Amino acid sequence: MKAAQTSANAMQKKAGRANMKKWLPLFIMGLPGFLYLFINNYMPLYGLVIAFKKYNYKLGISGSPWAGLSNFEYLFKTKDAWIITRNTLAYNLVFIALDAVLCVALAIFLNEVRKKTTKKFYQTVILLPYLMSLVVVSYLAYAFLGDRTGLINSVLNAVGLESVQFYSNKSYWPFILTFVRMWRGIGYGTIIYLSTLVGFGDTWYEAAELDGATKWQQIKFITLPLLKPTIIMLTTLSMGNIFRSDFGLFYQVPRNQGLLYAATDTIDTYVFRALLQNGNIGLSSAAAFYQSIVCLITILVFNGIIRRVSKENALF
Amino acid sequence: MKKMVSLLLTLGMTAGLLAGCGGGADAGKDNNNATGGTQSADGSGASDGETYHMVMELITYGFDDPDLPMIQDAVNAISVPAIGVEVEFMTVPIGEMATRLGLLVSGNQQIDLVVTGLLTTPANLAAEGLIQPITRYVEDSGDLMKLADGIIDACKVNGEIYCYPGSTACGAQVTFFYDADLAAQYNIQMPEQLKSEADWEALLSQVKESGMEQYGVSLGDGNACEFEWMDFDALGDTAYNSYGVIMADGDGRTVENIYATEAYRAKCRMHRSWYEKGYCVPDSISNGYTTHDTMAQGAIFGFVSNGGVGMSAAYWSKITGKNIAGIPMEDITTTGDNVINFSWGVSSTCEQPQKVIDFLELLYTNTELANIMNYGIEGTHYVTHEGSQIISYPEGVDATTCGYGNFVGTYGDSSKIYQREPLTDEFVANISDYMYPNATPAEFLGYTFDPSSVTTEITAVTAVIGQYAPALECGTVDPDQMIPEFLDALNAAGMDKIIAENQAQLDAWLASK
Repeated sequence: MKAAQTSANAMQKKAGRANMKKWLPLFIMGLPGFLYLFINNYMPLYGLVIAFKKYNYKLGISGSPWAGLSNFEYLFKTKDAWIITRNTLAYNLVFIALDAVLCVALAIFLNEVRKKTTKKFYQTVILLPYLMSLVVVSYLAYAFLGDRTGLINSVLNAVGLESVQFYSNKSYWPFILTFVRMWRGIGYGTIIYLSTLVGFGDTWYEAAELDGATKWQQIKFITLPLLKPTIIMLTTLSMGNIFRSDFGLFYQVPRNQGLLYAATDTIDTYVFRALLQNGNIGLSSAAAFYQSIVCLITILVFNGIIRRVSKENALF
Repeated sequence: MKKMVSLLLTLGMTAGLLAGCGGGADAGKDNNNATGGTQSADGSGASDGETYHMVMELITYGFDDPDLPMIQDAVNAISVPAIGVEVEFMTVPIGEMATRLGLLVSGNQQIDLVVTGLLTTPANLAAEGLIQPITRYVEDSGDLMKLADGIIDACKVNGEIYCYPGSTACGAQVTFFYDADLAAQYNIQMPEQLKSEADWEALLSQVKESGMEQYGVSLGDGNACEFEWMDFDALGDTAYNSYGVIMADGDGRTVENIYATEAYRAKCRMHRSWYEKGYCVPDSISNGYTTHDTMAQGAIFGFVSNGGVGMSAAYWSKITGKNIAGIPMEDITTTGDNVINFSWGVSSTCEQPQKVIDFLELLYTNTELANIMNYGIEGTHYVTHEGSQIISYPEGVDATTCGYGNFVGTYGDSSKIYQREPLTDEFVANISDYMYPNATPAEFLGYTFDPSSVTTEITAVTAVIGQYAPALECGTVDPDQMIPEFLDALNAAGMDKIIAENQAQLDAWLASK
């Protein structure tokens, strides 16, 4: 028994060494990338200490006095903590769900467009908003929603209706933000799905057509199952960022209006605003640390769920 | 194959990135050398034989003056022989001033003389270890102490002097600035004073009924709270009043939560009624324009701002392009906020603070040097007029083409230096109105709040203020409904604790006086 185990271990070791030899050139090739990753993503981890320090520029990171958890306190000081966490989570969940549904649908539609120039045209048109800076988007939205000068209110006034004060009424904003996010982001999401779709090749569909499958059946039984791994992967990746929000969207588009905070504030905008005036590095590190931890937990939990449901699609 | 290509691409990009960084740093170095002055070897006239190379922060509006090296050489031609200090200017765009100093100090780059006011406060910079106490050096300088007589206490944090007032004529009065041409055209009867609600009502209803297309006023852009309608001292936090304030009509020794005062509620109600009557720009809170932007666009009749030596009607005329006149809303007073609003400090990494203070002393006593720093070279950047302290641009040069002048603040002794048109000699003659003790000093002048023990609360409170105050002050919401909610949120965030701490510090300060 023991001897068998030893020999098995030796075999493994040998295989490992052979593998090593085989992969070595690839490792060497990857070295600059690893180095870059190490320098860019791992070395700054040391900076997390700042979250637990009362940072003093003169004393530096190691010299500054410890502050315990006091930097984390302000996040939970008011009921804002609940509001911003809820907003961040809820918006991202809606975005992730809508992304999956709308982008997949749009990718399938686009894939069915046969004429090449038309297809390229549609693709470009839906991608265009994604290339626009959110500052520009903010002004576009203002051109529609403004109190005095906005397009919507001008139309309302012209037909004899009262103006709507979009920038002082928070109840409209969940819809406005979702709309803007989808309008802007859908093109990019679609491209990823489309590139996967294109890779399937025509053989499946030709066979299905021969068997007399309708378009809907082809989508339901061929396209969607083939897309499943991509959908799961993209969704898992977005889940990892569920506690981070698109700062530009939530800060620029509502034009930083206090009355709207209850509906538009996310962790990122709250931290940014709070630190804009105080410039306290310790507090911002603490907030970033908190976000990272929650992100890690979310991604672990979500991955765990996927492993239960369909193991081969889990990330790790 | 694909992977190879992408790897190569990554490599290439990384290399490019590194090269880019390196190149940038080198370019910066060359640049420094270029503006490093021509006098570096010449230390002959220095008091102790050795020339100290000093780096001085200049706050700009975002771009560098082309003639800056020329100014630097002219400054060094005076300062090197006189005190053995060779100055190197470092320009910092105002938007970056709060972060740049931190980067310089933590990166161990040389920076000596820094601006401690504007978007930062000396108390905060001291608490973060960015500036060092300069008590000894300033107190040793008779000239500096004499010039800042009566106001230097405002520069102290925990008993140590941390900064020096940038302008000694720093008294200010809240003023209503308006478009005089419009007033004449529409025959508006301008009141003598604007103190009560009735005064305002009389003025604004006239504007509304005169038929002009302008709104009476703009109440602010929602980013900053427009508080200049009330008379008080914010004890350091002029942007949000989160430290608690001392009301001008109070006993001068009580720290209050301004948002809980009856006066604040009354102001908000008044603004609400203006909003409802159409006296003010209704979407000022969300349209993204500051009040003086709105004035420059010709959309309003007037606006409220601090008035003072740097912010006269002439100054606002230049900024807005209108013919501006002003009605003072209160007497000229000097509060701690006015003193430190533009001030000089010495960075914590500075090796020879004595030399820096020597330079500061020279700047305040040598009018020639101060004029160079403020206006550039005579003949090139400005011309003087016989028997007048007022200067103007030379032929063919104006504010946009002048090679020097894009900086924030003022240098040296405001009463001695030239003043630029359209200020008048009459204004210069009365400049001492804005100086201590003519500009009534507040009783608590010299007290500064050290916020370091309540930073968490201040961060939370500031967030709450940013949420409620702009809408209340712009009149877009009903104050009677919103203020109670606002106050609850403030207390939950710890406003009481800040006020108590501030009051305790103030009491200790008053007792020690």
